[in-house]
Amino acid sequence: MALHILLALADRDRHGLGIANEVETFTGGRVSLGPGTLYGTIKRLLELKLIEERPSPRDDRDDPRRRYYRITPLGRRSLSQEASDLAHVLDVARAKRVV
Amino acid sequence: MSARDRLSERAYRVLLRAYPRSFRERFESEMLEMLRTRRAAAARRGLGSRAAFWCRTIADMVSSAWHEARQAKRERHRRPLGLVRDITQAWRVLRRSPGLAALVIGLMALTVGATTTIFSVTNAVLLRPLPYGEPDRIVALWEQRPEQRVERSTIGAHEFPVWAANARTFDALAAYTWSGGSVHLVDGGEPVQLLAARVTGRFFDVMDVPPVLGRPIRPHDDVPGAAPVVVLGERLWRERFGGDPSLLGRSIGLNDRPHTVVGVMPERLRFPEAGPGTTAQLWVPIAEPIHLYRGRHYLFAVGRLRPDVDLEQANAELASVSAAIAAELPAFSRGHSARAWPLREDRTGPARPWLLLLLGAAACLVLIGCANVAGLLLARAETRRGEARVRLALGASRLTLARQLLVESLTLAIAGGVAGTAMAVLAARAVPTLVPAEIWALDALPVDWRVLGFALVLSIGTGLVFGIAPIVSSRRATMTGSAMTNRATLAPARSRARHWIVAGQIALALVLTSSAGLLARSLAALHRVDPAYRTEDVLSVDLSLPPSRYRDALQVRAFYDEVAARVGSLPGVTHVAAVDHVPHGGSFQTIAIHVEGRPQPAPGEEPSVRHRVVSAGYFDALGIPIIEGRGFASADARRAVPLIRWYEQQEHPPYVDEPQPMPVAVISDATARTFWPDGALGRRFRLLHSPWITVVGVAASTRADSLTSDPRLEVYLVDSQEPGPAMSLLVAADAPTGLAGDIRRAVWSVDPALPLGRIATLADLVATTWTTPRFSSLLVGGFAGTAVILMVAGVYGLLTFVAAARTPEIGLRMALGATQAAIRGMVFRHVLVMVVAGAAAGLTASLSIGPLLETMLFEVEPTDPVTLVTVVVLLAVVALGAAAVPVSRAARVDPSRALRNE
Repeated sequence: MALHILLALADRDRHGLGIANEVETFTGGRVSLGPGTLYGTIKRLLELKLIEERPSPRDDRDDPRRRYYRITPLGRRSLSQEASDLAHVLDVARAKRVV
Repeated sequence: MSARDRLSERAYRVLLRAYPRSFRERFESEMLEMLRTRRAAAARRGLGSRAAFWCRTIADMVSSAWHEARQAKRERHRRPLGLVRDITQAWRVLRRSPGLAALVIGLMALTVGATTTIFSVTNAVLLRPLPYGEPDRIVALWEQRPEQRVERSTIGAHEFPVWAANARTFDALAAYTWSGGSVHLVDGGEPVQLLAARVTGRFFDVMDVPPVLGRPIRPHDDVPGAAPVVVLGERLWRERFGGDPSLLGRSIGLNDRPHTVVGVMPERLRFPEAGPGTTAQLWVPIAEPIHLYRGRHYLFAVGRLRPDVDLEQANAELASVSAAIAAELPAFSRGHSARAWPLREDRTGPARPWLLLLLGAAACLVLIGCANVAGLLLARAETRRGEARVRLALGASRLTLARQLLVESLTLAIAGGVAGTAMAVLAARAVPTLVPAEIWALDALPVDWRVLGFALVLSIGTGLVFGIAPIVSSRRATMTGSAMTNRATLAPARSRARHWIVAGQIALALVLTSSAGLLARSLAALHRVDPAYRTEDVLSVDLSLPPSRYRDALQVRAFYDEVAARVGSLPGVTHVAAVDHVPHGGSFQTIAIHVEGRPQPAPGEEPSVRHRVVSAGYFDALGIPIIEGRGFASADARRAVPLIRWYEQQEHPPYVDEPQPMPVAVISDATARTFWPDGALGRRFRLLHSPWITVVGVAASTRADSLTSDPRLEVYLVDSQEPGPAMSLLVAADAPTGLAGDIRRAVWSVDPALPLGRIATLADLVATTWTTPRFSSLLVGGFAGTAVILMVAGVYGLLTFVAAARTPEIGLRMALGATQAAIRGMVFRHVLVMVVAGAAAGLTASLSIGPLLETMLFEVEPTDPVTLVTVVVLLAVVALGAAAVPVSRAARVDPSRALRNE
């Protein structure tokens, strides 16, 4: 789940619901994050300093109290490392005609 | 929001409670918002979608809540600063019940404060090293007469030099005595009387205290005929001579004889002590051929053991040297032995019983304090039983719970300990002014690492002790209780433990109160004693004539006659008399008597009497009736004085062969009954090596030296036959204290260079006898009062707890028809059991410590039934009184409310 959340935050800051929606979107609905799982993971990512909290931007029309999350430089490095590892795994899988 | 939405939202909130609190606080609102959005989306898609949404959500929440809870628990255990968290938690818990916390801290402060104060006294008296070089090697030596069961006697002047010459187990031995009368210092201001110690040459080698200035007295100073030298005490040097270092090598007049100042000793030396708080102000060498003074026992001695020698070896050697002396000089030393004691033990001897008393009282106080705090915490543990069960059910380990309880107890204990230590530091300043010098001369109680360490150990120790009770109790809770109920069911074993605690408090309070009662009764008895001489309106003024100017006994007599005449002519003065040892003045003289017609007893086995030298007007001035014969008269004056020779070789006085009045004495009727039951007048006796002295009068017996013992055997000589340079002038007048100035001027009109010593009324002197017993009874009384307060708190607390815990039962009983009286009886039974058990234990303890108190009691037996019964009744009434409020509260329980709370 952590990878999905980091991926959702890679292009822009989002609030919790926004993360869940984004994940659902880019996985084509295959991954649906329940609130417990989502916030449990967010909590751990915050503790690991891979993401950080930031106040909601001014253009948020829904709720000014909403908390937004941003990926940290450390988070970004971890994400790209993880993603390239996965890419490598994917290459191997392709070479072996697994996918 | 529809009703269905509200329902689902509530269900969701309930589910959220499964998460750890920190998680919930942080994410609850966001999770709720997400839920609402999702639910709305699902609702739009239809029923199936909504059902799927709920299934997913519940599954998600259960699994993640479980995950989070496990995570949180793991973190709690991993956190390195668990102690800090425990303390914070403890603080939070304590703040929730500030009354209880304040009570416990107050009790602890009282306990720790009182006990630490007593410890600091013990520390100052017994534990701190004496301020001398290697003090453990210094011993005090005493002569012993095992056959007469005399354990400590002054040392024979002929014996000490033999010890010093033969003892191999000592690096140095030294003897000392006090200057006859006191020393007058006339240089550097008004004449003053000083306390001078006369020491042998190695005295300062034994004490091993480096001088502030100059050098100590050395063996070559202590030779007959050596140039007289003096070593001053630092305080005298500073106060009298302004701390002038050029004093060294100069000559000052002591007893009108020039002495060269060779050194100044630091204030801390404070040795020897003439009495508690009275130490030598200067030191001079004895410089006399003491080995010739056979049979004169007036020396004290100290020694420095060789480093490789222990006390046993030294004592063995002293015994063998003494045996050799006794074999060589049986007439003077038969039956004499010698023994050494560590100096500290020797000096603290008289304080020991009081110290033990104090420590015993303090131990009682600590026990009561602990018991009370344990009781309070136990009561609280009962009320928190529910909390403990819930926490256990939620996965807290028993260890965590126990640790938490212990940290709470320790936090309380340390807070109380800090407050108590502050109290003890304050008390350390106050106590020395309260303790009579007769018991301890305390300058200040040092608060050193020992005292602080003691307070710390005491606080933590009591914290652990009273912390364990609730833990044991909470362990039982985990085994018996059900998690669903918060109600304290009164497990009999637990309440029994609390009953024992309170019974113990009653017992301890009883021990202290009965001790205080006995001491108070003893004090009252002491006040009732009639000293049998006039104490009201008599002033005593100590005078001491310098032998250099008053060489001749006739000069001494002339001086006292003249002073008596001048003081006697002062307005309001009814009688003037003189005595060498004023009654209750702190000193007296005992002398061996040989009664004519009786076989000469073996040396050292002669009967002895108290002897006083008085002026002819003494019996009139003090209102002591002459029962038979006559008092002294001016016609008794002799030229050949003094009568008493102290050793055989001493020369007879001049004019002894001339015709003159015979030696006469007045004796007390106790003396007359003892030696001459069939009539004493005209009978004769000798005192030491005196000529035969004839009894011319019998006076009524007095309690001039001790109120607490039967009148001693007294023998009076008249100053015109046995003049002494040091006498106390007794002035009886209507208001004698106002006359002090006139008396001083009258004395100075006869001798302007004469210093006056102590000026006090005889009543004041007698009152010093009461200081010590009054102090002990006040002290123990204070402890007893504290113990009773603590006991009341204990009984009240326990009964409140018992009543609360049994409220449902009481309600049930009342609903079933029990009367209020029956309920009262039921709860009162608890008190009665405790009182009976406590009183029985307390009485047993009181009786068993009786022998310890016996030495401090006068005319009261330690088993005095009146005191014991009174105290038991009193405490029972107080305990029942303390129980009355909770008991009547229990009896007023409203049955319907009590049962509703079930």
